[in-house]
Amino acid sequence: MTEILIVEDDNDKAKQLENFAREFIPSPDVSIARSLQTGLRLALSKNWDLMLLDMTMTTFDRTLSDDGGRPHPFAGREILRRMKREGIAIPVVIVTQFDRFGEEAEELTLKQLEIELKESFIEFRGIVRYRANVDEWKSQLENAITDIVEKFAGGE
Amino acid sequence: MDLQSTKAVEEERVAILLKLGEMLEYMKEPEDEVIKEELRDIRTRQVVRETARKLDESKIYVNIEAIRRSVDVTLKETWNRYHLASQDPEEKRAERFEQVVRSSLGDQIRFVNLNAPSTRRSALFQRMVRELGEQFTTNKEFGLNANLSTNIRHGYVLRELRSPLVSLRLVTNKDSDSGSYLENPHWNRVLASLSPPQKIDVQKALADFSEKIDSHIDDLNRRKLRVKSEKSVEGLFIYNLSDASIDQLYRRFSKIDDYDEFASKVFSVFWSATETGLDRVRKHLLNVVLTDLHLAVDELENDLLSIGQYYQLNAITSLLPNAKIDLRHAIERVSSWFALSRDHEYQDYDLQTAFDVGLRTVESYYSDIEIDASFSSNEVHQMKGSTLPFFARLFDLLLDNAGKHGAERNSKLSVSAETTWDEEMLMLTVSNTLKEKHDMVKLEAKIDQINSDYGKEAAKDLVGEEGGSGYPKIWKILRRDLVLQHDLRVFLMDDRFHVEILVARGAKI
Repeated sequence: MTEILIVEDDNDKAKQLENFAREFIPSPDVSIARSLQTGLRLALSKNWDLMLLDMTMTTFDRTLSDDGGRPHPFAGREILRRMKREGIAIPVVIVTQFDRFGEEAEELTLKQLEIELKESFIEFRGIVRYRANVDEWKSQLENAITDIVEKFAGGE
Repeated sequence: MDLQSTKAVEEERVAILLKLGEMLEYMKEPEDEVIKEELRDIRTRQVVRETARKLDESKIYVNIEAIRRSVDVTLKETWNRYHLASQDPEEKRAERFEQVVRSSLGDQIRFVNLNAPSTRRSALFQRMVRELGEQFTTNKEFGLNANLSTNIRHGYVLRELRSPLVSLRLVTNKDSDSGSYLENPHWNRVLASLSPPQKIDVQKALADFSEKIDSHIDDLNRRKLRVKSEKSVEGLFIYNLSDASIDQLYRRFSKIDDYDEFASKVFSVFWSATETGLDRVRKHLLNVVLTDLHLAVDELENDLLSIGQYYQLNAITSLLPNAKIDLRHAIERVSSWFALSRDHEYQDYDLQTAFDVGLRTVESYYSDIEIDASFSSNEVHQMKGSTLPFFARLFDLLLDNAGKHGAERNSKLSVSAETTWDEEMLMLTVSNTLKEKHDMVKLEAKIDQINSDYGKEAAKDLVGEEGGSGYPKIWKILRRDLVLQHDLRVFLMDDRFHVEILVARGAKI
């Protein structure tokens, strides 16, 4: 089984990513986390084969009685930092709907963020820009994980 | 990582503050006001949030007790005749004949007596079931439709679904005079690199978007969240009171010889139909309405991207993914209202709690208005917990009116509530500032009309309708739900709009 973790607080986007995983990745076993905290907990819980990670998320899962707290603009980066501290290396692709993150002094463009993450995290594969009504992201995501797909298609 | 929700974070904070308080006490230091105030704020937020959640879970109800009080006298008379008819030999013969035929041919056949109805007894049964059904669904004060109107349709659905888009500044309101949507000046400022014709196109795209959103919400309110009838053919609450379905009930219940048991059984059938209706509504919200709203957002994105370069419009297009997420959460929240009301117990409370609950709702709906709110009282008075949902809804209506009529978009609103208690009466006054540009003549005429119509028969007809000021609903809450003698008047004073409610205290408050 290819163990895939999707960390995404948008239900519709999470569903699209899950469908992508089931279509393009051999024998996928997909888990979905819906906030920074849940994503972090699951990321540290086992050796995943691939993580599809949102960047901007709420800290906690959103429910009817909990709004999840203020959205954290760099939630995905926090998860990567913590994984690095714990010595966990999982192939990660950031899948985001935004091209700017943070505000004022902290603001980064998508390109700047990608450069920073590539320098900091060995297993970081890149950022894919997601748009719900355009399928271009699928081919970008496929390209980012070609080696993983081949590895598991070969039954390694 | 151990903290798994915002509630857990709050509880942790409370534990830390309490510990700090204990340490200060141990060190014989004076109590810290900052700690006390933060503890008070957190506890108030928790109570308000919990109360709002319970209120969301109790929006759907039918006041069966009140309905029974209003119809039992006449229905019992019909019941007595129905009961006597079971002794009639002709009736017994007709029923025996039907039983024999059914035992041979099954339940699929239907008896039609050309001297309709088939038996006097079944006719009386039909009449009682229809009457109870009418009362359950359309009793103007206690029925399902009246409560749907007061608790859901009157502004709540509209504001809940619009509020994510209001806070992102993607929608505006219609100008009541011209009927077209107001301009969104924020985007003219932010999208500075666009040319004047492009800015006009952006405003048009946003106006079209506002119209689509409002049209979907309007369809939901006016057509779908209704009891199905000749007038509301698309209503999702369907109660089958056809002759055939009542015939079936007659066969099930004909042996019942106690009126209370009969009424209870018939109402349970209606509750069951209500549950089916609620399920239908939830599915419609999640499968149809959400899809329509998301499609409108996609169409807005396409319209905007056809106007200028991506980088010129990024400030607005980058908000659209959040708009879709927030719309989903809004739909999920509205969907959660459509469940049978749970019997919540509310602790005794003071009126400021009800005010804070109402204020919380209104602040979320009018996120583009800066609201300065205050509450004062001559004494702290503990109210019976069972009255909390009603007073919270009362403040909802009063504060919503203030938000709607008291300030322009992106401006300030000052609203205050004051309660004065004495041995026999409670005086509740809510006042708010007025819009800068208001038509004084129209406003004074409106005030006269509200004062003149309040509590009158014609106004009671409006309890089940939306779009008005909400005063018929205020009357319903105080007079029918809380059964309180009261008087209400509205007036202008010191450039503020005042609503003054005088309530006779009794066992309830």
